[in-house]
Amino acid sequence: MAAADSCDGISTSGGGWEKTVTLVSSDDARFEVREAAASLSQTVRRMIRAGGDGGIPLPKVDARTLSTVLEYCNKHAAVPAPAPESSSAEAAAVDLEWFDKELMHVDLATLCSLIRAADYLEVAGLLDLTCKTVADMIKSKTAEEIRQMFGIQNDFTPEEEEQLSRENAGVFE
Amino acid sequence: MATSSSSSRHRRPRLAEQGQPPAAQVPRMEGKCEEDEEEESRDWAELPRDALLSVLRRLDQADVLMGAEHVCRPWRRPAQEEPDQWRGVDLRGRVALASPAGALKAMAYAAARRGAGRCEAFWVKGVRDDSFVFFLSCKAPALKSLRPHLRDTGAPHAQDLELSLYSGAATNHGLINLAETCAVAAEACPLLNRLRLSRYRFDWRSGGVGDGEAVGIAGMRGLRSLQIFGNSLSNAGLAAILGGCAGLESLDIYPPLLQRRDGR
Repeated sequence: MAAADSCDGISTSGGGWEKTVTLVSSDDARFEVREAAASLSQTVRRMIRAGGDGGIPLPKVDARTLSTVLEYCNKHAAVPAPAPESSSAEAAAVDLEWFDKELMHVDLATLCSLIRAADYLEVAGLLDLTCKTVADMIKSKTAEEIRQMFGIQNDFTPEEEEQLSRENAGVFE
Repeated sequence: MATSSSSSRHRRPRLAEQGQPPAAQVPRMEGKCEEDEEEESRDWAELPRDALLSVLRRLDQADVLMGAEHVCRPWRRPAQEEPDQWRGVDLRGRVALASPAGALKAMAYAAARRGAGRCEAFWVKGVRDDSFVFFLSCKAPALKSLRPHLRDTGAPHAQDLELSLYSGAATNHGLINLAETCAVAAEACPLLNRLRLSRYRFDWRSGGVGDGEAVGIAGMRGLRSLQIFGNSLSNAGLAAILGGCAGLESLDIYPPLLQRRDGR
């Protein structure tokens, strides 16, 4: 295994050292992040293992999106695993839930970028969170309402539309 | 974790280069740019497949059938072809929405088609008979021609049927009656030649298939193969089955009473 040259160190409040990595967004912004947080991204984790100089390039994620992703990672990686059923575990869970909820208060374009980034970076928790947000938004909505909400073009031909409604109406056999 | 030399571990602490503050301190920008808006249409239509599937899995199948899959081409394929989406179909909640009975039936029908033999659970509350909830598990190609509400429509082509009740539905949806289900299936599926039956999820410990069910089974005249998981048949029940199903070639009852009985 190669040495992880993209790893650096940063002092923690406890006076110890914590490893950090530098991530480079598509628009060349550099983010120094604790490795524990960055490793929530499976994509980054693999790149750390592979090693390399000058930071880890993430050409599919812009700085604005990456900063939000890292906000998520920092928060979620920071939560230690206290004994289950302890009051602090409960408080931490409530706090995380609140944090997640707040993080999802974004406009649709940002939400879309976050989904793409979470998919590309393979941050499973964030992908779940964003997809759940979208699912909640489109629950019980008609196709036209969903299209309007997301600004999606209806690209079906009239024939295709007819075919699908015929299938779903059970008019066959 | 990847190996990291001790030298890299103890480098000086530093801020990120190029004046970028650490990520956690970057405020999120929530304004929408012009170009974002222009690209939005394409963006949402072409979500990564895994993300789209993750969204679809969180929806009721009814939401997929009535909404999501009609949105645009890129959304339709995963909605229709993702086998997991249709592995367990649950349309029960839709009855309460007072949708026309025909619409519910159409949805159940469409959902069954999507399952295309992979469907393991099919839960639908009867369109006319609310007590008739059943867990239906079929092997392809039977599922294609089976209809969720046997009493209404019949399943004239079904040759292979697995019936098991879902006990979780019992408290929510009132009376569930396996004996009645068997009787309906006997009438609705005249070509039935293979039946697997259990009270709950093909676990023989879940309770017995008894004489009540035997009456229905006896009506399945074309039956050649019968498997029963969980047995509380009396001799009379067994006799009824053997009397009704003259063509029975294989009878498999667990826990064992009789195993493998060829002909009569």
